[in-house]
Amino acid sequence: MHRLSHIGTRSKSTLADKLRNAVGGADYGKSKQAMAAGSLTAKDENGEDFRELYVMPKRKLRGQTQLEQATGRAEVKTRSRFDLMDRLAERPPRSEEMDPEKHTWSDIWPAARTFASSVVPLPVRMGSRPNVEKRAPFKKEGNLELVKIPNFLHLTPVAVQQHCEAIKKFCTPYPPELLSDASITPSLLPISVQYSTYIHQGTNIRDIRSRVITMIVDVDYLKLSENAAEKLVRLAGNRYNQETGQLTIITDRCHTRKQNLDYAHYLLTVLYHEANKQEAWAELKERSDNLQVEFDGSTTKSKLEDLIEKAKSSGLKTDEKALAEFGEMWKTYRNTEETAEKTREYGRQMKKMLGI
Amino acid sequence: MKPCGRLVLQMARRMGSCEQKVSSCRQFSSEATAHDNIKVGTLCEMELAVAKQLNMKSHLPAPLSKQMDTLGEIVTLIREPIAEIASCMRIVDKNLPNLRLVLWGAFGTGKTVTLNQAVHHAYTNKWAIVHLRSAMELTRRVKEIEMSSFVSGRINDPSNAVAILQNFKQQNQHIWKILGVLLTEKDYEWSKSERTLKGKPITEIIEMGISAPFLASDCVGALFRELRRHAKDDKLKVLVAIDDANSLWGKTLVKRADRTYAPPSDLTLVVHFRRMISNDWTNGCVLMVADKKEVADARDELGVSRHTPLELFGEEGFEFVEPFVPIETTNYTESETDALYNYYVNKNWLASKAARSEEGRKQLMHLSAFNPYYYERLCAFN
Repeated sequence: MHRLSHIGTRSKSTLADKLRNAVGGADYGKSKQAMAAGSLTAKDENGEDFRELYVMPKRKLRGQTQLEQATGRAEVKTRSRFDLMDRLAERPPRSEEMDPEKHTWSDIWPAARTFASSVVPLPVRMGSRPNVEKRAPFKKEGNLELVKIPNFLHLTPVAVQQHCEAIKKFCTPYPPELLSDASITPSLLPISVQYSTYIHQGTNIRDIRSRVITMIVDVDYLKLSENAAEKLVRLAGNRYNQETGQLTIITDRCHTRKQNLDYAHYLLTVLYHEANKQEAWAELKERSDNLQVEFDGSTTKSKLEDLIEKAKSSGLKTDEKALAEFGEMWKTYRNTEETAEKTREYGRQMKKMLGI
Repeated sequence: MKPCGRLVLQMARRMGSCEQKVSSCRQFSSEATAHDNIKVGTLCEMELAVAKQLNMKSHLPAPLSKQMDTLGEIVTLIREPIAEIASCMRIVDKNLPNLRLVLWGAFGTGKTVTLNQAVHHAYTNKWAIVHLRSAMELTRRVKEIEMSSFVSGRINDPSNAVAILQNFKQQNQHIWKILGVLLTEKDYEWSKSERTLKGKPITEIIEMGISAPFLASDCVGALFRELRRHAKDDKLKVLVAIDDANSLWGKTLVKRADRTYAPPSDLTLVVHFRRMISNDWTNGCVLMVADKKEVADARDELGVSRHTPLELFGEEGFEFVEPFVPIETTNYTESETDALYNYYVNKNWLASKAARSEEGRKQLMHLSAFNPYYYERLCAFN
């Protein structure tokens, strides 16, 4: 600690000296001084040095100081802080020394980092107060809440722009063919992968659902043979949508998104190769094993043919050509959702065929 | 729901509130030409005596049979389905395999009533009638069972078999003499002591079955076989009318010795009726009703089952029954409700003044959403 030099009161002369100095001259006190100093000349009768007699202290007396204080002429001693030098040794926060002309924010905050109140030049406040009007939320210095939450100070538009500029030279333009006609996307890019990212405001920013991968493949573009396509449909089970012809694989059995994506690709590969394999026991397939009920080879067809013949011979106006049409309708009737309208259609065609 | 019965009545709407002539007539005769047919949309009355013979009281839906008791007559509306059935019955020929018709439709649209109208039509045209009140009785309301001695593994149902034979006897009184003339083709050995010899009238089989319940199931089978044979020989035409026919391929409540439920193909009566449905015989018409009762679950509050044939018969049943002609029963049209409304007004069945007003007529129509069952219920309470 630095000590400011100050004049000690003890070195001041007594009141009498002062008066004398005030009245007399400069050399008035010399003899006295000589005597006080104990010079050889200043000796008493016995030849001993002069011993100064202590009458008054060499300071301002209590009364005097009180008078001075009362009259307002007291000298106020300014005492410096005990931690003043420590304080001077400390620098002001960085945010105060920032100049937009000289510094760029993306250099100061280049990547995601926890909130540092001394660096962020914004007068941001955070905290829950019972009455916000009366007392503002807590300031940023020493505010743990600001530290706990995720911040996106590294993603200012300027920073994002800079990132894009940096990456651009590695990118190719979006295919103009897809821009003009989005419907050809499935033929060029038959596999579509979907996943979601979740943002949370809270103590935990993670969401377990973000590892789920949905992979949708249009089976036509796998270019499988008829048998292979049927085998794929059987293997896929309810992952295959008959109406749209899409195979949907949803995986979340691995911990990370990347792992799930790899697993989905693996599943697709396995399905494809297994579908292309022909096993010996596949030869044993019967009519009852078919995925769809076929009209040709059904008992209905043989019975119908028989009935039409006999109806003709008994004089009804039957329509044999309508049998093919009936077969088509019958296949839809048996293999798709049955509705009242379909049943009516069935009835109409039956009556037409039999000539009722 | 639908008043039942067949009488030719003039379109009541034209006559307003004047009394309707009640006169019996035979409709839809088998060789009828177009102009003989009763117009669709008119009301028809069935004679009570005929109704009694045909056992209409138990075969009609409950609200209607109660109305029969109350009003003292059975009056039904002739609608599209019965006209179709009548035209199909006209086609029946000894060379043509039996014509299968399936009545389907939503709840309360008139399947059972149409079936009964067809039975009456068969009666008037002197057909043999095999009428089963409900196939669910064979599969789910089996009081006692016996293991069959004829085929091992089959389960006989004596009480139902006797009921079937009695019903057949009662309903076919009009052709009893003709049946008495038809003869059996072979010896039937029912058991060690009972037998029916070849060349006996088939009415003996019926009598045998009624008298001995433990033989009744086999008698039913024999009777059906004889009927099929004689139909093929053009001795008679047969109408097989089965209500709730899809239950023949449905759920059973008959427990076997090992405490599992027997499939319907293990029940003799079900097997016999299935043989009647199969189209290896000619000169007949099989009229079946596909009813939701079989698949509807009262405890399933959210699901609504379909009422279309494939759903109700199941794959196996559907393939058995094919090829058939589906006949749909629908809700009323306005003119049909008008005809019924006028009938009710004339009969003083609609009691309240509000119901008899024009406003009331419209309200009844729309409140019931043109559903025949609910229309009848609403009229009964107003």
